[in-house]
Amino acid sequence: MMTEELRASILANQDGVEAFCWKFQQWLGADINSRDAFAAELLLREALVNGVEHGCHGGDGHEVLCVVRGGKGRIFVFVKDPGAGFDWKNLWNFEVGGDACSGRGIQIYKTYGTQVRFNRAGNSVFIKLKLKQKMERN
Amino acid sequence: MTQNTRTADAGESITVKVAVDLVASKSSELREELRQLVASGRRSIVLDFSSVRMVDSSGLGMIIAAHNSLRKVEGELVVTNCSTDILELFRSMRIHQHMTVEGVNASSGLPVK
Repeated sequence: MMTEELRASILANQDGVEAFCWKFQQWLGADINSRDAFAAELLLREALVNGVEHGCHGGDGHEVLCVVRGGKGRIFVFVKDPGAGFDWKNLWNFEVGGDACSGRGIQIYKTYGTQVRFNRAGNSVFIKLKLKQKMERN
Repeated sequence: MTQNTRTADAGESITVKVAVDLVASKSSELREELRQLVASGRRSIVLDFSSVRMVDSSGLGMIIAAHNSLRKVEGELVVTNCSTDILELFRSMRIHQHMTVEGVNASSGLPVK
């Protein structure tokens, strides 16, 4: 039986990201539609990669805290890294050019997330995703 | 590591069947492969996404970079056989306005733009 909460402190590298995403896929299971599963994993990946690459600069000595919860037709993702954070207020309304090779992480948050909140420093993010189709566990 | 497969190799055109998800941890191999293809004179590259399940912002950046490199030499990058979710991602990021991106109709098997 799937647990209500998935929580881990991952090593700040891409192997850590992939290991947590694999656990997340198992946690989601089959009782969620394709669009919701894709959106949830994409949001989680963006948060984790930001934490690893920008919060820890890929440093293996650091850890990133990841928490996922499900309930009442929603999935909640919380990711916190030990870095100094970033100026999310400036970047939130930045329009990415069509031929720009970077900068789409915020755009993905805004497109797929129902609610996205950073802390003041910008080293933790809370994401709420309202599912199109409720999970059976709710 | 799973290898990408090259098919329909004809002169300046080539189709690459992408074998991995284009996410931060896995997209560097394809990035280098595309760089080498452009450097070797390929001007039309088709990426077959029929085995790709997930693309993140790093993967999108890699595709845009390849598109920009090809555009500089009057070439073209085309992405085909995208899943419904990936096609929606390309559309919501407005990438389909800059390059040809096609999905597949689940029932008919025909391309969807």
